[in-house]
Amino acid sequence: MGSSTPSGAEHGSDLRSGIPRSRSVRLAVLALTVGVIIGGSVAVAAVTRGSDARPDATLQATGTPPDELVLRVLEPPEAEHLEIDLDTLRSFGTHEGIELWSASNAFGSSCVIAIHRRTQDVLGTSCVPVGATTFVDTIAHGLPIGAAYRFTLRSDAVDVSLLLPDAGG
Amino acid sequence: MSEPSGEAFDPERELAELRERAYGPASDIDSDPAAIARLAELEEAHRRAVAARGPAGPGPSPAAIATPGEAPPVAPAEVEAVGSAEAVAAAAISPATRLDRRGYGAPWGRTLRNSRRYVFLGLAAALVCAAVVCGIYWALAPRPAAILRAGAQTADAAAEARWIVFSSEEGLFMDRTVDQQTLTPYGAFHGVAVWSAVDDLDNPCLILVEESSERTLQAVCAPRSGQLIADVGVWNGGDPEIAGGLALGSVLRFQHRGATVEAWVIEAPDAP
Repeated sequence: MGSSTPSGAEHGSDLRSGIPRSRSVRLAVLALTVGVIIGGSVAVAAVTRGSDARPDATLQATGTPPDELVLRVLEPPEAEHLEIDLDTLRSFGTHEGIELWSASNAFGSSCVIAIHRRTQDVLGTSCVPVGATTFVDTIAHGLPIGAAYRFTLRSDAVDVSLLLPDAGG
Repeated sequence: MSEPSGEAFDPERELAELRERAYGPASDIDSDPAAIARLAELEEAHRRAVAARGPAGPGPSPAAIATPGEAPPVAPAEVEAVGSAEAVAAAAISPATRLDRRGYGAPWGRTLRNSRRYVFLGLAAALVCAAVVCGIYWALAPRPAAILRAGAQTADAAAEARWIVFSSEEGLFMDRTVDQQTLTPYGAFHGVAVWSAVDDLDNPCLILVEESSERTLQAVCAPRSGQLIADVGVWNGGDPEIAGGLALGSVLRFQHRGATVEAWVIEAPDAP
């Protein structure tokens, strides 16, 4: 008779941990479900966003207005077909001697413009309808052979990526 | 030792009620430690009584077939084996509530079974939700207007002739040296013939040619670490075949994918 009480008490302590365990399992499963959904969404989003590598630098808008040189090199016939609206020029500063500008054109597209001030060259211009990636590649000006800078226009910044050839150029 | 009567002390009913409070849909036993202890006590007595009876025979024991409200005809041997009131209580439990061989009547068995069911349901729900999320992403993901596939490399006279044209155009390929043997046609899209090649640094190159005039529109090479993309815009005075009904400012984007080139149409809103 006396032996049944300790045994029962022992079993009762199992019960005390066992009954909440059922609920904690439910909570754990719920957390697992939510975790899988969130994790899966993040993974899918990362995959569908493509192979957007981290940029080597990001240039923020400076608020500097275009000077006479910038306006002159962008005047027709330079990039005339793009019909860039020079009144919408925004500066994003300079990277390795290359000035980056953005603008809109007559068709409402976003444009990114790379200018080498020292040689007064327009290294590249690209205008693409809003919603698609707008970028321009430039070569030379101190880069290794086969390497290029890719300047990608974001909503309020320009990402800079240095693309190096596999052979090491 | 006083013998509990069937009406004053019905362990079968008490155990059933406590099990209902512990495992039933309106479980409330958590807040009643005394009830938890009592349930454990009855379960233990039940378990010991079953163990004392030994393996289940072909038919129910006299104790097991006792009807409710009637004192159970307890076998003397069982009373001897247990030697407590719990044994009497346990013996009064009918086959309907008896611990079965799978242990489904035991607290841990029930908990384990429920846990496995919840885990299974949770995993199934997670898989279904993940599949739905993937499906939505897949359905909403933009797709190219066309996928151009690589033809034979320099196998025809057209490629040879095209190479001669490329070689004569100054400043192509961003001043890179391109291997003629790698010149590959991909067909045409919107009046733009697409070719690829590989330069002397193993960078892929993309060459876009206006079909109507055979004029080279773009020839770019990019290191493999970056996506190789070339755009052709629809501008005033441009080739009407390239425009193909697109609004001015629209862009045809060609993205090199190795064996294929994706052709995208990025449409501009109609000009005012």
